[in-house]
Amino acid sequence: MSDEVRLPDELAACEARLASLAIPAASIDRDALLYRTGWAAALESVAGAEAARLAEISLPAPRRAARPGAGRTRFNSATAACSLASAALAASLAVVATLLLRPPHIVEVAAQSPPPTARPLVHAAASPEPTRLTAAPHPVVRPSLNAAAGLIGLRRQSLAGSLGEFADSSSATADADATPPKTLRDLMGELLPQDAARSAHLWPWSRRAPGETI
Amino acid sequence: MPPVDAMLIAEMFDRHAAALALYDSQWTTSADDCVQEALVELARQRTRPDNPAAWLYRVVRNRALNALRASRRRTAHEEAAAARPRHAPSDVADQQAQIELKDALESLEPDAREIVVLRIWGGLAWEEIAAVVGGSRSGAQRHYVRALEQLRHLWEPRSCPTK
Repeated sequence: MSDEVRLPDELAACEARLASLAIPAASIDRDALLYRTGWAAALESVAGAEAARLAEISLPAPRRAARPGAGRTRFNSATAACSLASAALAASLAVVATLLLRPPHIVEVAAQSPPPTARPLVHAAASPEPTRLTAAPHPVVRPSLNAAAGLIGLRRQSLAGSLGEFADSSSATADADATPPKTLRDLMGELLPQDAARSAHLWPWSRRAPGETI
Repeated sequence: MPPVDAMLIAEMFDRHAAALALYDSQWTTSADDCVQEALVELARQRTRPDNPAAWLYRVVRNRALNALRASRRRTAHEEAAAARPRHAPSDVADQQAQIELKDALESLEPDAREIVVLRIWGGLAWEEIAAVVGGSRSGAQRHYVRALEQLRHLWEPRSCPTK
């Protein structure tokens, strides 16, 4: 040994005698200890592998950083610029393609002759522009309650048909009895053209709220 | 650095288990448990220490000192139960040798006793001993020489040569 201490002979003899004394053997079960150490090593390796996997997932740091912080800055700036440029280009292409492929929005309403007994509700404007339906002015005759006549007089007027509202409703009731009631889909099919009826395939900006414009 | 494998654990056990137990017995009465824990701790290391033997002695020392602090808080009944000898030597000569060794080590100062065990039975170099006990190399050598002189005075009437 290179770091031996130069001892006098008497001390060297004492050292040799001390070293010759047998020390008590450790009362440890060797096999049990090796089994336990094997388990400890296996568990530690599994835990280490799991920790390394989690570290790779949570900390994807660049491995070729020249100095601490340099690689991270370059990674952030370059990647952020590339990502922003890609996102902007993709959005621009999507808008251009949408505008080019957008169908012209022309809604035509086929004029239908109103039923003879029904009062016309809408009038088609005679213009080449997209038809705008407007409500027709209709004088509303309110039944006036006469204090002298009372409810009995009002009932007589109703039976005689002199009340406009009640007369219209009675005629409408008669029309309803003549033709079966139409559903909302049938009415939409009559009022809207075929292209506009397929609103499910339109672009979101082509849709109109019902009643806004036809 | 190669990893810790079963061969290293077995080698450390065969070569140093008894010395580690003797080293630990300076402070605690449960030396075997402390040695086992140190070997298990070595098995948990991902890389092999530079000097596994010195590493083991350092771990045993730290654990023994911690156990010594904990044992001081225990009751006297528990300490007496733990101090009972579990394995008596079978041979009479072994008994005499161990009694002599016990007397010799108990006659030394705690610092000197620790260094003697590390040097003679642990086989550590002076740098490693200094690292384990937390001192300098020259200080460890001074403690060692002083311990040998003390032992010479103890054994002088019987076998040690006199000046």
